[in-house]
Amino acid sequence: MTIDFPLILLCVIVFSGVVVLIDFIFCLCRHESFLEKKKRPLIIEYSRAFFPVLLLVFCIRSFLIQPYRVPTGSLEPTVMPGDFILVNQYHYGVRFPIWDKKIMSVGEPETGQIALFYYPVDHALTFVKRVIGVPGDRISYINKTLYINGKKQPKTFVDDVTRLNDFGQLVTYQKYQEDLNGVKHDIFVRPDAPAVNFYNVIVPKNEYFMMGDNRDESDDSRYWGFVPEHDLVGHALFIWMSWNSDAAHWYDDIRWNRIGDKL
Amino acid sequence: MNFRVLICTVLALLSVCAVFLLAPTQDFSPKGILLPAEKVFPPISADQVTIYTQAPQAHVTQLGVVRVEVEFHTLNEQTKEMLFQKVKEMAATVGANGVIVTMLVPDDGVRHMLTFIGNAVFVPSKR
Repeated sequence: MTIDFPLILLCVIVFSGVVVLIDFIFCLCRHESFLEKKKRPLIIEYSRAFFPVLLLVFCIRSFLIQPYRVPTGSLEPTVMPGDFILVNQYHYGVRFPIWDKKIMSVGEPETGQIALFYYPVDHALTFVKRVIGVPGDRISYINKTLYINGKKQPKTFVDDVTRLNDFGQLVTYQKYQEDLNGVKHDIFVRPDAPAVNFYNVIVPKNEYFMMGDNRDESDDSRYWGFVPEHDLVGHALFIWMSWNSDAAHWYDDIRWNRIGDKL
Repeated sequence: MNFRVLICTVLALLSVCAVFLLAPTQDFSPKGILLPAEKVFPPISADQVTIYTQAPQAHVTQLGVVRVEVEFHTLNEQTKEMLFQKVKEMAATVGANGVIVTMLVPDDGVRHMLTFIGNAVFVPSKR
């Protein structure tokens, strides 16, 4: 069992909800008014106050939208470390959190979308990557160029970009614009990193192949395999805040130009 | 503490316990992928796959790269066996009868992860 924020929130909601429910039953049995304003024992008073608020927060976070802070640069240049993204929680189906049971189907992940999902090896972690392969797709990666079902995904060189990576090293990346089945987005490639070619990886049923846009510095499906459909969390919508912890001055901490960027 | 508060608290605590008991347990099975080479062989049985810590003295044919990760509480032989079994199963899918270990790293840091990277190869039998 992973003791994470949703589980703790659910426990507090269950506790306060049961207290409110039992109190309501007592009110019925004793012919008291449930809504009457009067001094009540502390535990009942607080449960009555917090239960509806916490339930609302839980429902919004679980079924509608959730904020997520990106800690690494694996999806650079699209998403940078310190970006806060808003995630649509129902895009890939309405699921009950903790048990991750799908309650209602809504849509399926499509190639090129940025998706949030539980790291298949350890569900305590949440990863954000780009969907590269959907069930049935045949993925090849040859000399750092993607092929989906035998079709080359063209990329055009944009610029050389030098910046600090996640390990504090100053690295020069080649920035390309990749056209992934019609979805145009930027990627980073390290010219000094050797190409690890692979051919015809077939994406199984109900699973997805994910990759980061920072192709040579991304811990993705090339390392731990496919993401099962039940591990999907949601679809990244846009950046609502961007915090640069490496900024030289306090007034540069917020990357204003990134706020509102659609993903 | 009056009777109403006592009943409310006890039932609420029991409900929280029920949530904890019903919460799903973490799956510690190994996860990974085989990245095939351009040419692969027909699948074989996982029992026929040998894991080599040193490259065998033969001209081997590279059939792919195997990468597997497994999370653990305490690193023991059972965890390693599970990981090696997964490696063999994946290598067998491309007809590799051997896997040469290139990296086997336990990460005892935040993630408690055992990472395996190896080359899936075909080793011709000695005649």
